[in-house]
Amino acid sequence: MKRTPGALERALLLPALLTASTVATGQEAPTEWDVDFGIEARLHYRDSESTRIPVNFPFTPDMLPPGETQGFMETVEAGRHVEFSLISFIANIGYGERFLAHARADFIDRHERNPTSGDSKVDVDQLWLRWGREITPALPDEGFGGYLKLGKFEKFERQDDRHLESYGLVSTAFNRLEDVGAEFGFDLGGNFYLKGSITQGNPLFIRDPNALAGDNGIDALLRPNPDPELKTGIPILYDAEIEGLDFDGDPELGAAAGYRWSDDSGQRAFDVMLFGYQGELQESRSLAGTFYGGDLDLLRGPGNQFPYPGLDGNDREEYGLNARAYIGDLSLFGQYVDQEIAGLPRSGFELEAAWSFNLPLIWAYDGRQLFSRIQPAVRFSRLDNDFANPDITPFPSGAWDWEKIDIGLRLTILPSLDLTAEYADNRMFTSGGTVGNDEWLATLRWRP
Amino acid sequence: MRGSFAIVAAMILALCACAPLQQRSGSGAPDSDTRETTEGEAGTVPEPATREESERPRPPEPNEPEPLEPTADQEDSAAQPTEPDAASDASDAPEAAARPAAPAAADPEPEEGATSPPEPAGRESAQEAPSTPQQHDLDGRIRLVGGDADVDEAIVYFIAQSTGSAAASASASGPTEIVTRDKQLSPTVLAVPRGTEVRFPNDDPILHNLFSVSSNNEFDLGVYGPGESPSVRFEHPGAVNIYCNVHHNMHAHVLVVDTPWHTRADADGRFSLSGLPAGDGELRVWHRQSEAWSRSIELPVDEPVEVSLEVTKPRLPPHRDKTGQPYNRRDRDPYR
Repeated sequence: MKRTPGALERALLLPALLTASTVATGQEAPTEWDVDFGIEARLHYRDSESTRIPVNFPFTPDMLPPGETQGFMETVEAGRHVEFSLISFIANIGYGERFLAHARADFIDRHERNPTSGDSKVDVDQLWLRWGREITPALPDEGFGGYLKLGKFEKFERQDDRHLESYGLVSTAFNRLEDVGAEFGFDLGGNFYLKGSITQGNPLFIRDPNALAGDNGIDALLRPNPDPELKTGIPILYDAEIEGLDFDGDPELGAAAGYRWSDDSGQRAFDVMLFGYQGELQESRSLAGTFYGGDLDLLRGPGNQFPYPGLDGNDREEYGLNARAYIGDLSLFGQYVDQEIAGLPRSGFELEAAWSFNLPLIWAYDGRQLFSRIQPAVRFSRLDNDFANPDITPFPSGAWDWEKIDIGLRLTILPSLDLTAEYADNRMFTSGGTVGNDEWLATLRWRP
Repeated sequence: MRGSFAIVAAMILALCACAPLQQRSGSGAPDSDTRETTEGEAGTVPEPATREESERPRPPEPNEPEPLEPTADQEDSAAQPTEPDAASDASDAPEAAARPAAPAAADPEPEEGATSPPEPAGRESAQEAPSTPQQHDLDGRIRLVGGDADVDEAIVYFIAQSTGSAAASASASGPTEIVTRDKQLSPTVLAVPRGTEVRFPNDDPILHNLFSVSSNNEFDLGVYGPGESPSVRFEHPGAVNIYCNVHHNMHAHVLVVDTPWHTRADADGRFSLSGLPAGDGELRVWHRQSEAWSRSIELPVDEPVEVSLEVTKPRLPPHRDKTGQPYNRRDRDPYR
């Protein structure tokens, strides 16, 4: 089903044209080329609580592990593990404030893969070109101006200063992963700003909200009596990784309006942004490493035989509010999202508070202070799925309400090396009661 | 739900149409008079200052410029710096001068030692002025009202109205130091005559990067390590706020003056200037946490001068790093 250009498309056209004109005329004279290359690596210790939840889907005996008579949703790779999860190469090539080219390529990328073991192990996480001055959250208006960004980039409402390795339920469900297309924005003056985007739209899929996504639809499951090592996880519906260029479908349109304020030092600041997206689910989205289809194919269940009750049409609409505030060494972030996917409504919110404490200078290494800062952080997130499960489904957690508390501590060992220890407390509200699926995670992050 | 989205889109468009398309207006920056990290400054990193890695102290470079002889205008601007923070002090100076005389001291009896005021030991003392036939002393006491501040960070200096004598010209003193130790700068406040070279020895085992974006005295020492001692020559009168680009809490403040008669108050707020020329002049008091104070004075003056300063600024001045980025968001990196 193809849409004709509507009011929203026309509405986005005006600011897009305005942005292009301000990008072309409203910038200061460029200074010089600036080339910066970086690398990032992460090493993890993970201890995942083993949770095993039976499902009522009528798997045939050869679809189950040897000796099993019932299917389960299970914790992904439960137990204690030490693992390299990420090596990234980052490149920034800038020309004053007027132009920036950015690329980030991930290798291993274990936490962003979906399904965990079957997806590509090399991923171009971000690749974009930007003209103009981007609007920095919670900093004062820098005068009338705008920017245009093309490529694969993060969603504009995504939290940009994270304090934990894990993600909240709302971030995971709605805006954790990058999209492909164009984004623009401009300062209106008076600290108000607007943003808009025309993108491909992330495929709707399932993943466990803990560190590892889970093995769902991997090729190994096609063999008789499969017993995959990583298990399914206990998944939620989420906007998954873009797998490639696909402009055959209708684009997803996004718009945002915000207000930002800061004192002179930036130590006290806040930013509030209202945003929305409108797009359409496709009949099916192909994802690397899984034979499950994304979008409507996923919502209709295996063989399109087990659709969610209330499934209607293919519209995907979302609106939300995010806010961030800084009060000295305390930073706060919150977001609320209300989404409707093919007639299935759901919403969620998350709140995060993080502190930063400078430590006294006791030890030094190579001119850098050892153990310079410690940052505790706590986050509460909740996902409300206001729709029911099909009578038969292989992943009933897709419609459960869910709460997650993440609490952690980040220690800056050296400016380029930090250690984050955190605990994720999951509470899933099922018809049979509350179920947990908790996880300890320690992350050693190196960013020279 | 599509309808609600359309409403939101319409609201955004309405906002787009109604919002003022204005240049930076300073709204949302209520303390803009004290701000020194302006947008323009943020985008322009100051040029590196003199960098020296040799043992300190270092003799002045032979090719370094001599301090300029002050003109009458320059002298007049000595206490009216143009750097934003200092500018607020300076711009307030005329107001201070127009204020009624400082309130009488609560204790009309001369303070003990007022007749022989204590030397501000351990700090820079008034520079010895050339001897003239008529020299006078000026004593006084500073009291701070409200706030959390140290009175011994107050700097007192005298601007003589007569510029005909050599005594009115400040001359640069020898190199002086502000030392970095335990992630602090010491002393926090320093007054120097124009043209003075100030060294910044790093006695910490870690790297620092001192910089200033104060108007006319901008500098960026770059990152330097333990044992290094870069220096800056301050050629322009005014207050110079100095910060570390690595450590938010490090700060020091240099007041560059165009007069030889300056001193710091002691821990009780007492001060003494000596060798002042007879006649009219202006007594000025600068404290980094207060508005500037000044009073016209005709020497000799028999009674100690009482100065009351209201503390209106925090101990740690609001500031960003040298690129204009808030320190508390240094972890933020949307591209990584």
